Amino acid sequence: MVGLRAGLRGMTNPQLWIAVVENGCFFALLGLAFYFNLTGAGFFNFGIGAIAMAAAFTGSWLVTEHGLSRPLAGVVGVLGAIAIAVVMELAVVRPVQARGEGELSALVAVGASLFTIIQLSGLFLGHEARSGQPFWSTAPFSVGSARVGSTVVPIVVITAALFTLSYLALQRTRLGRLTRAIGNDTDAARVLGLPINTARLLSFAAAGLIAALAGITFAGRSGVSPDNALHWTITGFLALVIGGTGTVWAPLLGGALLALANVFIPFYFGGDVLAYGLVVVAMLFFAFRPEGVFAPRVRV
Amino acid sequence: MSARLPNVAGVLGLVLLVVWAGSDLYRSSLLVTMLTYALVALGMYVPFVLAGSLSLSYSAYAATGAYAVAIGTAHAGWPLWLGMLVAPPVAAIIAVVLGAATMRLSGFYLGAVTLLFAEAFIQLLGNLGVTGGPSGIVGLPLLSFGGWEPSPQQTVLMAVVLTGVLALALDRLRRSPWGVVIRASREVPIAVDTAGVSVSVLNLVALGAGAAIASLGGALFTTYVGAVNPETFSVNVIFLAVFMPLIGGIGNPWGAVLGAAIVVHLTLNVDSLASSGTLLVSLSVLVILVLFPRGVLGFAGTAARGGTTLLTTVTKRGART
Amino acid sequence: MTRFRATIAGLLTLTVGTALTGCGSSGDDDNGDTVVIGLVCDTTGPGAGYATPACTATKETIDQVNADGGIDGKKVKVVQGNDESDPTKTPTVIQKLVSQGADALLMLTSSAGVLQAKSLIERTKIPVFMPVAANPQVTEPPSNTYLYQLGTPTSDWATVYCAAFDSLGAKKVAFLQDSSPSQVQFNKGLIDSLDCVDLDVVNGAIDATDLSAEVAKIKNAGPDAVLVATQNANFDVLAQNTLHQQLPGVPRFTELLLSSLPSAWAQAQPGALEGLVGLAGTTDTNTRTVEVAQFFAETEGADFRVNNFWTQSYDAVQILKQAIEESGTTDGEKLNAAIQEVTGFVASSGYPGFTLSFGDDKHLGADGICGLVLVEWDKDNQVAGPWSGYEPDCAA
Repeated sequence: MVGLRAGLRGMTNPQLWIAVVENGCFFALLGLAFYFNLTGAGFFNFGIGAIAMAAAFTGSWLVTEHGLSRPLAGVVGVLGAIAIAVVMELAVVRPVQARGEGELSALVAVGASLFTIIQLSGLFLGHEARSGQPFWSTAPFSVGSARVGSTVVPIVVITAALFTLSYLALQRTRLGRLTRAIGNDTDAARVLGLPINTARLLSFAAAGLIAALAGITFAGRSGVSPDNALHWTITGFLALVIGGTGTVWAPLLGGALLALANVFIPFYFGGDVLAYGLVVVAMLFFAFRPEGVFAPRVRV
Repeated sequence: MSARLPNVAGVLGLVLLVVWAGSDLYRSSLLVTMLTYALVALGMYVPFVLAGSLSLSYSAYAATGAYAVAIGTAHAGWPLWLGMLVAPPVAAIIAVVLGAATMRLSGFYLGAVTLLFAEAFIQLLGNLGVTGGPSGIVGLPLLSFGGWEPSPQQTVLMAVVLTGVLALALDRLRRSPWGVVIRASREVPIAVDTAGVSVSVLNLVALGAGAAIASLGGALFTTYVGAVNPETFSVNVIFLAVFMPLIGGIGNPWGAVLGAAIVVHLTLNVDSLASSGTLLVSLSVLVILVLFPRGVLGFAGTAARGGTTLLTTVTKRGART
Repeated sequence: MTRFRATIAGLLTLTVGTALTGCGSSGDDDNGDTVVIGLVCDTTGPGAGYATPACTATKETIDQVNADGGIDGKKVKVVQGNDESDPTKTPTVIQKLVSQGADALLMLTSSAGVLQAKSLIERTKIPVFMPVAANPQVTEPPSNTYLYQLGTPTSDWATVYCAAFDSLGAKKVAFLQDSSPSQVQFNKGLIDSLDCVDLDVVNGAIDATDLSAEVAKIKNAGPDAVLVATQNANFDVLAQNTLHQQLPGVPRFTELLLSSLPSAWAQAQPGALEGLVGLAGTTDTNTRTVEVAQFFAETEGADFRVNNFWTQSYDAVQILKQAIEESGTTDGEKLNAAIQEVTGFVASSGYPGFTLSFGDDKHLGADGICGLVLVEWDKDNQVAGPWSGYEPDCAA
């Protein structure tokens, strides 16, 4: 009886659901960035967390050290992130993948890129954590007994907008359909003479843009440091693989499930169990759904 | 490059390193760190490069080896070498159990789960009593075989022999019928299964063998340094172990050993206080992947063969001008 | 392209070549006219936040010692290494500095790395200071003969917290800690000694992106005060942001790290640190501290703010200097014995009258509780100064 009451107290606590929504949106956006890379280029870009970190970190540096306005610093951060993503594709991923050695070399290449971005950020902008400088935040307000922080509304709105735009772009535009076709079967696309390289480049740029917006907005909660990059990468990757890769909405579901685990495992079992809890949840989950909730369907 | 050449060059390189280290304690320490990384990378080579399975729990296997030595010595009063003998089977069992539990996963899905496992394993080591909790186990005695205590130089020599023998063995294994089958299972699993060989059993054997080799790396490090704690083999080691075969060249197990030597040189031996070892290593990986896809070994082979051609071309050009 | 590749290959060969030839030269530079101090600074890894200022402070102090004529007329030479807080690298970095003739080591890196090297340090037989480390595991037996810290044991922290809780009339206190094994072990002694209040321990994952669940549990318990017990700045700031938002009005306390990291204050939400009370190592009421702060401000600029990273690094060098002068030698074992003779060293940290002493079984330097200063943050997330609620007394 006591257990049931305690159980309900967690599930009916609006503050916890706000946390699920805020974290879920962030995880989902990172997952969406992964999804774009997977769709357009057919591989997992483990640099996503580093790109998100670099955008937020650079933006904060420009605001606090050089007095730029937040919107201007945000624009620079986003453009910088897109540039990093494009350079990664042109200078690293494309030459490595072009040799057709499978995913191993490309994986190691993006892993090395991840560490390079982390270390270069530390080298040029300092290793210490920085304050978040989101270009948009709202005044905190109350809903019933719960407090809604300054970054909740922006990240929800940005998530809704980016997912809708992504859906429209991939489903309704010619280039979007082309990108998905290329992701489905690159060889066939090449035979048909489709502009593979353009589509790949666009998917990298889109991933950079989404990761940057996610990082800059979420950093408004409690800052950003180069150390965040690896954790953000793993989180975004998990959001995507849990959701599955079958639809553009999958990362949203994956992010939500991951946020539920991150909020309610500590509430019911304690934060010290989170590491074990995530392994058990991941193992059980993948044992039943090895390709995520929305598995890609083979189009015949 | 002839098949024998890397083996000869590898053995020669190790001999040179032993001579270079001599009785210098700093150089011996460098060498032990390099051999530790090399053993972890060689362990990872089996499932990762041969079988194409992205199992990332290698920090956990290295830690298993380290703790087998430390717990055996500190709690059971074993000599250190007994722990080194116990470590490989224990690590292999853990790897096979984890491998069986994640049998249906492949590629990046397997990578995600095994990475989470590695992180949870570090947490577990810090929470248990027998592992000494977060402080780990310190103050282990020196290596001793029934009264004979080898000098640091002799310990390094034994570690070099162990690593060299394992690299040679893995090279033989790679070219043996078993190696051919497991490499085939990476490319065409269905064909191998149809031929009556169970791909899942092959994978489990590869995982177990790899974990056993990696555990020797952890055991070596703890034996030499006399201490271990939960953060000794962190997730960092996993990424280094993934990078090393690529740096050296994935065509041959010796690539992992060469990669370890380069990583240790860049992170510990280069006197660059302001810049970080991690940055140097990551940049080297990028340069090598983009420009020298077959790693340093592959490039050395090409260069050796191409040298004469290049020389001829240059001479001809010189003659023309 | 071929020529480009050849150039790169040549560079790589050269780099590897240096490994085999010169670079690791192990010449013993200690020819009697110099004192060699080895400095392990994690300036690029996870410890960079505290190791960078502490490393700068140590080098500036050594420069001053040299400018004043050195130690016993000998110049001090610094040899430096970076282990990036990676325990597989720490022993080799120590060996490198020892091979370069280091007579003593100052370690500004993670506890995990130094724990890894404990057996090696015991065999190497030269004194090793961890000037700014708060984690006492490192200097506990076994293998602690040559290891020293300047910090205060957690049982003394408990005395200070208990007095502070008492001054607020707080009986029921929530204790929010990060659940990393090293923090849990560190806090164990503190929790055992905090028997003055009814303590409710809540664990949060160290790399959590959210602590709403942990704070909700605290809120359900209805405590009179909350102590955030972590040495991880990100965790601390996230906790303070969440507590400020969801438990406004409940007094908040923190451990020693946050007061020394102004960059972390900037991470907090506007006003989130207002009223927070934390442990610090320095106060303007100590004239020694003010002198040392002025010395550092000469090179660091006018807006320099002193904290215990700077004063403890300064003191560690001075203690080493005193021990070498007393013993008249840099021989490791004799120097170690001389360090254990150091008593009543007037520190540049803490309240006036705070001293450091070492001994055979005293490897944590602090004498008494007045090395700890309780400070309070203002509405601009800046440390306003000592907390008015309670002031640790050197006589206690």
